[in-house]
Amino acid sequence: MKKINFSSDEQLMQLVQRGSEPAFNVLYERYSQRLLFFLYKMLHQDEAKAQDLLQDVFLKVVEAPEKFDVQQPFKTWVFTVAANCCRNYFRAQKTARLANEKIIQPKSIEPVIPIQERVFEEQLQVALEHLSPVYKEVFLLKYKEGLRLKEIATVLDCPLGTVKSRLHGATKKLAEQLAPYKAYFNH
Amino acid sequence: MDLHDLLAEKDFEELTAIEQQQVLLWCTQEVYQAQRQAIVASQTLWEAELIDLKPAAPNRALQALKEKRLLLEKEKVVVVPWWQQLARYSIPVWKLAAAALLLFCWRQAVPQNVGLPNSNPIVLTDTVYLERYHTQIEQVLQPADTIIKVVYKTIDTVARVVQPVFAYTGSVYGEEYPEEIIAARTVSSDLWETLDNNKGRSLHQDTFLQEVREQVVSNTMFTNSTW
Repeated sequence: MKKINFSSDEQLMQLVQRGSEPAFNVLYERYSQRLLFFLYKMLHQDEAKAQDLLQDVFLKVVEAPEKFDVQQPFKTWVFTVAANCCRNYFRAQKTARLANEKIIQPKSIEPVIPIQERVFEEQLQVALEHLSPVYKEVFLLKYKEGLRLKEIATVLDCPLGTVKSRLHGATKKLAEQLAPYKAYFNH
Repeated sequence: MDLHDLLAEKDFEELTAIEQQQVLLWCTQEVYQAQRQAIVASQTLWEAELIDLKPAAPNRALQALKEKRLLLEKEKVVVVPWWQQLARYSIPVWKLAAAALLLFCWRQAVPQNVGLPNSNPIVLTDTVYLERYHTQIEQVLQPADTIIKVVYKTIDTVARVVQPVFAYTGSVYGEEYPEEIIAARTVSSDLWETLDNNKGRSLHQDTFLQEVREQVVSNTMFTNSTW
């Protein structure tokens, strides 16, 4: 078991391909929280749905482990599966519109500066929620998961230029929306 | 380093002179700082935000994994060769006894030669060895000065090809010999007749020998007369 704990993700995945349960448990321990957060954010903070999709992601990992190329990083592959799960969910629910209706109505982004301590965080939360899914997934993968731009391109199955463009768009939009609250940012 | 990496890692003031120059080619210091602020704030927010995993979350996946492993183990079952399977198969004694009884009854009930004639007759070639000659000596009483004239007659020595006799492998009960055998008999009729007692002739009926005898007798008489 100790040996398994020190194995790389790719080695663990090789064991999972042979049906190893302990290897799967280690992988689950390593990635479940990160994937859950990614799904949670992508699904407009619907925790129940995120938990369901997390199970789907790991189910796919188990059901078709042979699809994983051991020469490629596991992290990239598992986030690809997660991103595809989100897309399928959006497609099924026609969520692009539906989900936007469901989300908590953002607080006004008018330059009326509220005098609360956590106002910047709240506005950031709202701004992040308002990002379109394509911007949001790129932003999360880059600044939350720390994936490189090439890896993001692999995960999203799009050109590197598109990733850069989306990332720039997401950062710019966030910065613009948070600009009025700059004074509340305590860094 | 890529601009997005710089945004994630360094404030504008922390950038080297070269990096600052590169950044300023792309945007102003204020824009860079605003974007940096958004990124850092987001990261801070995410760090504080934790979602509890459902303890039973991987159950479905684990169940699927177990099923998959069972499937893999089934696939791994070693294929036993047929001869080994045959060797491992044990026949119950009663089945063996029943089979033996059935075979015995069948052998008793069915005549051995019953069946359709074989379309491919077996060719039999017999080799006949001549074991001995029988010479018959006839004693003739003649005067002492009698001249015996011996007449030699060339025997027809043309090789006789004996056609192979086809043995009939089918049933012979109530059936005639096949045509092949009859034809073979025709070709080797001399031999057949020699062996056939019914068709043979006695010595006194042999015209050749009678001729010889007459000649011998006449010559004797002539000789006697001249002498």
